[in-house]
Amino acid sequence: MTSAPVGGTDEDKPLRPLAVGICSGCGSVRHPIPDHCPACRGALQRRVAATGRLRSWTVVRHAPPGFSAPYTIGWVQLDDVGIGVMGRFLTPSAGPVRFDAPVVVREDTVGAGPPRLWLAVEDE
Amino acid sequence: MSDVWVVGVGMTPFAKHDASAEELVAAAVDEALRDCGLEPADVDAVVVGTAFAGPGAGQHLFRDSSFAGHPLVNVENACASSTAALLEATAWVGAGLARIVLAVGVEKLTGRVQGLLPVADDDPYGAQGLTLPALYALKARFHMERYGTRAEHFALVAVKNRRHAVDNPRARFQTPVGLDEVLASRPIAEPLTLLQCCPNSDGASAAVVAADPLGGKRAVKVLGSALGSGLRRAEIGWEEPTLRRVAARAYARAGITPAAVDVAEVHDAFTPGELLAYERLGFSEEGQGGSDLEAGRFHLGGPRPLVNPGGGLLARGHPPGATGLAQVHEIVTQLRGEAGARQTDTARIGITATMGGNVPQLETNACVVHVFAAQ
Repeated sequence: MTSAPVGGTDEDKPLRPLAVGICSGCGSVRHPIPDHCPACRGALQRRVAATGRLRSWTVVRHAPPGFSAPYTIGWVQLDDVGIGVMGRFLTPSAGPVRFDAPVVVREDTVGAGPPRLWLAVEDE
Repeated sequence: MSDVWVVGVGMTPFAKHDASAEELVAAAVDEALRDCGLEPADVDAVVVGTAFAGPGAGQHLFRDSSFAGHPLVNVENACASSTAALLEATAWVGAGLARIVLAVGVEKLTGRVQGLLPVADDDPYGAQGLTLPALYALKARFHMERYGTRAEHFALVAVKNRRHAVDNPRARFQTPVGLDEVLASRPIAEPLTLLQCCPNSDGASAAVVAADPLGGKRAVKVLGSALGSGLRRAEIGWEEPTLRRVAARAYARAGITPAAVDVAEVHDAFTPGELLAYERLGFSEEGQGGSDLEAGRFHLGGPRPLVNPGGGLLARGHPPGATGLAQVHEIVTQLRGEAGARQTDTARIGITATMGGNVPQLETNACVVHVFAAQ
């Protein structure tokens, strides 16, 4: 089943490719990237992991405070690094959403909050 | 551990109540004690489950009661708080720390929480605009894509549970709804609509746990219980192993297989929760939950097991801290053969399965499964 994604940010902020932290001690993969590995206290190596496959999504029609519905949340299994991340679709023009679609993931940061992740379906 | 029995149960209707949390708790506790012919003086210890009542909730609630001075433990395990409280009570009794323990669940949301239960905006998923119904919608979409489940399958859960609650005088909603009505209700997080989301409610529930059946044939034996917390979502994705793992442990402790279960109360905070539970509790093959439901399973009068005869969270209402022991109330009532028009005709083994989560980065905060047997 496919449906048109609903975006997205209305702010004109620079977005950077998603990066995760990979622990040099135990190999665990973290996003957001903490100062130290919460499992073994090892140091985390920053690594860009900005592509993945869409494994689930939902169009949110009833938004929590601070958000304006509708928008589409997606779950992306990142290529190579073995974790999934949650983000919002950036623009409605990214093409139809379907299971396993290749997705580019970018992020930005607003204030002291956790990073916001922005998704776009990649042209195949 | 020695045998443990649930000898008495009580609960208020779930609704938007004007009554205070103290008054709700007193009503549920009075009923549970009357149910087994005990007096407050017979109770050795109290365990209180609540998700939102804050620190010291039990001491605050019972400060003017005859339980002041008793050993008291507060349990906060999100929406599984009061089935976790029951687990704690059974541990006390089984270990010989007490002979009679009162387990209580309570929530008074009116005046505290309006609409969506909050996901903290400093949470990494909360920062993406995640809501709890959206979380369940993501579970639903994955299942749809993986197994061909349709939006209608999830909606059928609401239709079934609203139908069951027509005969439950303690339920928040006692009117049936049709499939078209469920699907046409306000979209919340696609594919979920408003009637697939449980209503925040107020209420209290209680169970009296004892080391013997107190000579009564209405006592229900706790055959086995298990508790687990969830793994990180980033690593498990949507495979969600926790309920399957916890249920397997509870079944093993009880010495049963899923095929032995006659009746179950499961966590349908949103409709996908129940459909996924069919598979994870071992009632349906992987991916077959929707088609089994559509074929008539899990309905009153259908092939066993009967699921959510009390209407589930969707129709009974959801005061988070009180929900777990309301599930227990329904199972005990069914196993006693006292459920009236919603009674299933074969009820020897019943289970409750409760999921509590407000840490979205984990699959669940707490998952509790209890297995009960009629005498």
